[in-house]
Amino acid sequence: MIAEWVRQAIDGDQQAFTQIYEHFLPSVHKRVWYVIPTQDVEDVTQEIFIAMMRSLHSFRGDAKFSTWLRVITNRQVANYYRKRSRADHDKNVALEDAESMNAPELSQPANPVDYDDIMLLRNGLRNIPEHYQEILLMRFAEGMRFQDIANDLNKNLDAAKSLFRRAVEALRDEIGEDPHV
Amino acid sequence: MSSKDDKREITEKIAQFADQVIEDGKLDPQPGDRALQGAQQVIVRLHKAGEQAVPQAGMADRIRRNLMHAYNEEQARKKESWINRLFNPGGGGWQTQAGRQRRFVTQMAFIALVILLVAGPLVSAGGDGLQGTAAGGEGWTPLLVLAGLAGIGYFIWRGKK
Repeated sequence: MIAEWVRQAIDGDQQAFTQIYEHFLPSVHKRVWYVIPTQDVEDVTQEIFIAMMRSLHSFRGDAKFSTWLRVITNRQVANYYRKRSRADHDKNVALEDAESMNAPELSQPANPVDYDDIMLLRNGLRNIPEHYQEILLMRFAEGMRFQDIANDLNKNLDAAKSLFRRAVEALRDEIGEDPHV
Repeated sequence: MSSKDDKREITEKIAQFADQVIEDGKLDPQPGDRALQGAQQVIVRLHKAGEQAVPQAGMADRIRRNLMHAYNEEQARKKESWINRLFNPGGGGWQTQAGRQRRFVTQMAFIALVILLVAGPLVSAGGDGLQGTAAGGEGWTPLLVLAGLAGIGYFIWRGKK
């Protein structure tokens, strides 16, 4: 189904392209949400789909489309942080995030406690090794089952679960105990 | 039980707990040691953070609109000839500031290339042109006139567009 949409979209079928967008928007948005400050989530999500559109002709179907799109997503997220660091905005992340809570158009967590925790998690995810971040996002952002993750990573099921455990432990070490428990 | 078995057991419990949280929304921790409790806490926090990832009102529509605009531009650009893309001021794919800058640089590079291609034979025809002799001067004169005419012609042509 997706391969067919891709072929049609390359041939100029706008409807097929819309279907690809609708199908992948939730998982791409959620993945971005986990790693990008709230006020930039929409821009980065849009950049990802524009990059996808521009590279669509290069998708050969050797890998799954979702895997291919994940590579584009990761590249755009890396670009975002590269640009941000170039502009020396890193030190203002916390301030900007806090300010965005006052912007009525932005989606916000129900209360400031959740918001602090999300910022903490985002920083934690950025600071753990990439393969740990990857497996956590596959499970939590994309909702992939362990067997699918194992297939995607070319590992057996036990190895995938073991990687997941180590990733959770690394994140726990990074963000500490939940202060609300 | 060996430490390897312990590790396998805790790995399995953590994976099961993640499945239970993500797929069934059950957030009650399973009994276990401190390591398991800590891992379960992280899983719950990650899950709760993900639940907040609700797209803003209108976000999907805004992105779709911009995306379709870009898609249609891309399709239009594909249908244009390369020469059209290079010189048409309103051509597809050049609408953004970055696109306009890219086009300007490309146009200048194109003009420079044409001048170089013309310059080779003309300089050769002028004999010692590069050494700054009178004959060289004669070699460069038609080239400069030609480049000037090409520039004027281009801007007149562009102005008509």
